[in-house]
Amino acid sequence: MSTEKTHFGYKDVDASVKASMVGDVFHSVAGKYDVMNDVMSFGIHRIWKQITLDQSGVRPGHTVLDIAGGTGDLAKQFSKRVGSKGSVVLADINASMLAVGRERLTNEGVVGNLQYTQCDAESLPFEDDTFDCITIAFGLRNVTKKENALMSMLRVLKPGGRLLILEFSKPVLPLLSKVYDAYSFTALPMMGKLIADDADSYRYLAESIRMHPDQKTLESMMVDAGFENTSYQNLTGGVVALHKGFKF
Amino acid sequence: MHLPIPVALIIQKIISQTLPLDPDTQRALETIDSKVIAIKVQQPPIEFALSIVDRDIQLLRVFDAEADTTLKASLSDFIAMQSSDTVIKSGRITISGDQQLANDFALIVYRSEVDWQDALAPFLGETLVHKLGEVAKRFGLWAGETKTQLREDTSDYLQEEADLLVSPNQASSFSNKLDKAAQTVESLEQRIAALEQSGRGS
Repeated sequence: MSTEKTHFGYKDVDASVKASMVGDVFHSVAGKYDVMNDVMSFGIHRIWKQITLDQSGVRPGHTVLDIAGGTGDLAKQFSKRVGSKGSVVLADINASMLAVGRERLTNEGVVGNLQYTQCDAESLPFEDDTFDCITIAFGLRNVTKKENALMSMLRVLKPGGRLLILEFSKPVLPLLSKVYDAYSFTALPMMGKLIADDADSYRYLAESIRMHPDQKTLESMMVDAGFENTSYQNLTGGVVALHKGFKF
Repeated sequence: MHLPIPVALIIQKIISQTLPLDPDTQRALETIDSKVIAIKVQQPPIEFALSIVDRDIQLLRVFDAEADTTLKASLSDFIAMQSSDTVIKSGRITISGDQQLANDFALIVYRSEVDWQDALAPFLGETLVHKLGEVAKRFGLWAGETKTQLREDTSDYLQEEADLLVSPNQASSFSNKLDKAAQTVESLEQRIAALEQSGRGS
């Protein structure tokens, strides 16, 4: 009997074990995740997330799902935006990341309209038509079956709601692409070793970015899943792209 | 143009620090809770939105959805909202969307007691803010004087130099002469009518 294969960075692995392998990576980096994000992106990830918030159209009273929310950068801002009449669900498949996020946000006083759920993006445990907005920032490339995840997101979105996918993508400038490659495969694992004492996890990060669908491919996957009015915006020369799609 | 992220963050910080010091404004905000007000400044062209949530105002650098009301005006007209409650009525601000919300918001802005010099001091330093305040005050006086002077100079030029307009005295004198001429014509008409009548009678 042949088992279904998928990629884990540059390796081909059984689809059934990818989730646990990704889980191990994030268990390993959870404690240093925020520091590493700032170091690796030179703080630019904050601007990418701000642009995601800008494009969300979220207003007081809305219901928001932040998938792969990790340490809660986006969930914290959404919690302020929706106010006491709205609600935010911070979801992550990884218990360690969720624990770090919950501790951080609770310590910062972000409570009341925020819930935490450990779940798989491929089978979201929510009723149909629940959320006004769904975000997934730097998470989709770690999902084993992205098509299933997109369909699950579409199901739980309210009609008129939108999905925002913030993810590493393909640089659009050839020179930037070469610099970026050199940085990802040499500097990133080195920084991972120095700061988080984990070079392998950050090597996986660089490899998983290269294996992720490019801008146009991801947009067509969103269309195939049933999203409408899809579009994307390249950020920092395409190092990252913000995809947007609606459910009507 | 959208507000640059650092500017938006500073303004948000000022709002977050000053609002708790103004409980009357906070209470008033409850009447427009959960509303989003888009602000479009025409000169200079800047757009942003204000979201009213839980007695707080959140500045949204970009709001990629439909706001409840949109206010469009020049920067000076928006600034004037704090010192005058007739800016909306005067039509200097174009409103699209919920008119009542725009009126309520303008009234809240007018009644708020935010001291912008105090609010900006932690970010720019008290000395600089004081100097900026002085400059703004002097600019206001200079602008007022210049406006009056310009009006007078233009009036003099059109009346004295270009001879395109008459002075108020000349206009009044011309008007008096016209009245006199009208009276003379009227009396002549009456006399002609009287002469015609007497001619027919003889």
